[in-house]
Amino acid sequence: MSDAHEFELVIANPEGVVFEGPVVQLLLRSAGGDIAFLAGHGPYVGEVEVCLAVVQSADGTSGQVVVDGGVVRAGGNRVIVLAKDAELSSSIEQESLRRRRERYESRLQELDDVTAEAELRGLELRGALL
Amino acid sequence: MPGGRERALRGRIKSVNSTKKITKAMELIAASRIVKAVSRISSARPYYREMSALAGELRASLPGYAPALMGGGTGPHVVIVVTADRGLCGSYNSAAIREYDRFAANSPVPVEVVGIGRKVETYFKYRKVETIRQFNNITQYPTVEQARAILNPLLKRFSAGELFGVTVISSRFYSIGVQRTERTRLLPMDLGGDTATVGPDFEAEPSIEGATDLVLGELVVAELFGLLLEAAAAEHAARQAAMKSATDNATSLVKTLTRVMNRVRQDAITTEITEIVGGAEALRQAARKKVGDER
Repeated sequence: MSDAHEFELVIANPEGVVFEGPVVQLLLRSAGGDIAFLAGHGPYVGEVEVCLAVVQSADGTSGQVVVDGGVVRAGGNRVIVLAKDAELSSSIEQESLRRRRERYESRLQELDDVTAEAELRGLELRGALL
Repeated sequence: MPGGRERALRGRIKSVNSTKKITKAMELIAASRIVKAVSRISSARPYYREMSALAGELRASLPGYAPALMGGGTGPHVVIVVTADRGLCGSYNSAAIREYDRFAANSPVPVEVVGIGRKVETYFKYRKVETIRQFNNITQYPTVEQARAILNPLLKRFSAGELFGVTVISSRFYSIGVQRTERTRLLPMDLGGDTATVGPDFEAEPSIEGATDLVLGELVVAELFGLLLEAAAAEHAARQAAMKSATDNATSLVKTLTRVMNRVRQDAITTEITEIVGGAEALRQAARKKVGDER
């Protein structure tokens, strides 16, 4: 780690790693309320609520990640968020969200489709948070 | 002009060649899908590894706590049987079905079935085996939400002590050349190691017990998701191998049929030449006889 104020952050969902790299701050919503992680955070395990996590880098830039609940573990200057589902907000397009929602809604009307149901839930979450 | 047999052989060669084109295309499609499926397995590993490590850490810091997902209940044993939606993949489907038959025959408790894939659905309908749920069209590209939808009702029942256990019968992907149909016990969970003897050295919210239950629940979902990803890769690998074998067989069949057709054509030519020569000789003899008679 080049900067003493930085710590290593990993945000992963079961499909893969969404974000990985050194950051100076992570803000998210845990079961106990909003929580901020900085370098040298004490050992901690907590439940993460559905939220828009804010990641701040050393150069002052910040990014947002849609987190669909999960668990966060801090310790050893490393924070890892294991989310049920997560996606960088910069990669989400509103128009694409609308089209996908329409497609899955029509599929759901036709049959009891577990995929459509799951996709709709994810899309609604992203639409609500952004 | 070709004879009837030669014409039939020519038609057969044409038909085998067109089948060969299809099997070759299917082989190439399966090969490209294996690459994507293997890449998905690799991408899913970090989450599973971290979640397993966290589960082990939580478990090791909770003396005397017995998570519901690690205890055994009474009631039926649920078996999730994973097959493909389509055939043309060698013994991929039949191996899973055979393994289910063996499992059901030897189970000491009643067995309930969750079917994944059209092939197992057809088999269970034929054998009149009742399934508690059936999921189709998910094996080609499984998602974690589908794994969650499959498991959620089972997790509820298991936590309430209504199930003896949950086992998955699926094909495990070891490499492109090696896939094996195996049973994987999902519940009760076995994290290995001994029960904790020391307390936690970290702060937890809302509680360590709550975090442990959450982590174990997510870990079992990730485990099923991993199995579905492996089954998808194994299906593509099995299909590629089956289609390669079919393509090779078609090539060999075309070779044999071409050889037979050439022999038939050669025989026909020989017969025709023999007939012409015989006819000419008969005419010559007749002419010679006529000249002799006139003298």
